[in-house]
Amino acid sequence: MKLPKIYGFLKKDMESIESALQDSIQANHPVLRDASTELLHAGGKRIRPVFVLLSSQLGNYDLSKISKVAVTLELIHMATLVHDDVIDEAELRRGKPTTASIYGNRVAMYTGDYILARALEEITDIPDSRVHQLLSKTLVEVSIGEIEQIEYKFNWEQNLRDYLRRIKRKTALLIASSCKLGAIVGGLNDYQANKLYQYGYYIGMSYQIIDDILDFTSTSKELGKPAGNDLLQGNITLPVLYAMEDKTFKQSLFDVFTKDGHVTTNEMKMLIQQLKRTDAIKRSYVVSDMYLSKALTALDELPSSRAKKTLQDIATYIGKRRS
Amino acid sequence: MTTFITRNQSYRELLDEKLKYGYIHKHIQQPLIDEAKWGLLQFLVEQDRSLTPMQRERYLITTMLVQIALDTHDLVPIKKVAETEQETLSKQLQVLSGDYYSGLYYFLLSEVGEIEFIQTLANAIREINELKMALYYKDSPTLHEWIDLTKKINSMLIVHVTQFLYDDTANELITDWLIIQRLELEKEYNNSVIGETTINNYKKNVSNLVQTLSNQTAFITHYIQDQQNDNVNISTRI
Repeated sequence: MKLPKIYGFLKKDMESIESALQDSIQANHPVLRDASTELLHAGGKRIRPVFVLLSSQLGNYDLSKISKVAVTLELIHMATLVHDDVIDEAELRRGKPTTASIYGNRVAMYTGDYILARALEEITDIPDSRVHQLLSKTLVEVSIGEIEQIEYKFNWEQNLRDYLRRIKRKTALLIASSCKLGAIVGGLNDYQANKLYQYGYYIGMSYQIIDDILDFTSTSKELGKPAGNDLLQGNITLPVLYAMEDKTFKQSLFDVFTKDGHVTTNEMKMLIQQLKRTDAIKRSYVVSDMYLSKALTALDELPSSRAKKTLQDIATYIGKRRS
Repeated sequence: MTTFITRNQSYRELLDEKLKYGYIHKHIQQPLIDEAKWGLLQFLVEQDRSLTPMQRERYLITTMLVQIALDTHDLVPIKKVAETEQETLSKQLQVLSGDYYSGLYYFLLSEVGEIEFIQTLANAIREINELKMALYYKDSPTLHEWIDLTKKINSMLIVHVTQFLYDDTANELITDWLIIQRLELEKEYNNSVIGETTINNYKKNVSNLVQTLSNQTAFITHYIQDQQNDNVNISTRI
């Protein structure tokens, strides 16, 4: 089953969110409007808005109110992506040309800043300090995570704890906040809101670990970028950390990355093959599954409902994701 | 009793503390503080007697963080592919530090429940980026067009803050005074082609506005008049 089918009953509400997203980026300047719209239409699973809506449905669901939160989370995610593409000098994202590659860095920077400003304009319509304290703290943490990702590039001495802290900031916190913000605005009590935060956090960790695994196990076509691209960029992910426990792999890795000149496609293919021969992928899935199991446990005490069942199904889906 | 200058120093220490991020500033230059805006902002928040000391501090620090975030993003090079590792790192950190300062402004205001001020600054950021796009896509702008857009971009944030604090805003005076500071700075550091005549025209306009603006904005006109007379140093690197 595909992910959108799992939350199929949200279709109408998600269409309303999509329309609100479209409305929110109607800039006066035509290029700013086009760049934002292209970014919006470049796809994406809208997983953050889905978590916002589902969490809110466990309480008093009011689409007009919760829509602001869902739109904000997706806009923040979009703003991050457009700036990430400047950082990575990426030509393509999800198989489509990036804002930076079409319009240049300057426009990509302005577009990202514009979209983030629109996100804050949307969310400040909600006069609840808890919402802003959580979201703003998350934004700062996400930025720190991005800076740390640069800081830790090609740092072969980093350990599991460094990696987990990084993916927490990079991915898990925004999903955790999506769930908790949905809960707060839906009027759930603190205990329930925190349980949903935990669910989102564990799901986010699991999701990112699987993403990092797929970087080695999927084809370039499936990924929309070369396999092993994270490693090529210097990002040491969980499969690499585990594979480095194998002396042969570690030696090959150092040979490839410490020699003069660029890393060739053949060298990357060789490294990926070697990594797959270790138990790194299997062990990485074990860690991901551990987080998924914690995510499901976090839901245990929440009242039974269609929304809760859907959150459980999403967790199961993420655990089975193989491409 | 503390003076404007001693309070300025303590605000400045606080801003420095917020800007400090070891890894970033090991690799890229610390951001420039626009002294004209900094001084004017302090004056604006201190003149509003209804604000608490915490509000004054947060409004000043967060507005400057936004200005620095926007200025930092303007430093991201236009060329798509960096040629050296240092260029790459510097570009990446310019993008990320700008994002970090933006997050920080939101965080510092959320901490004290200043939701309306968060919205005010977000409104300004949106409008500034619209204007930056207009300037970027302006084909061969005349000097007048260039200055007109630059003036708006340069002052938009302060104008929004002034509007938030006071009903009667003296927008034109603030905008023109800030562009004078900016043009003089450009002349000093970049040998800008903007001539004395242009700057003097703005100075005349500022003098006229100082004479004609209403009583409600008298405190702003006095401040600007004092600054013009003192010919204060408008740029220092922190």
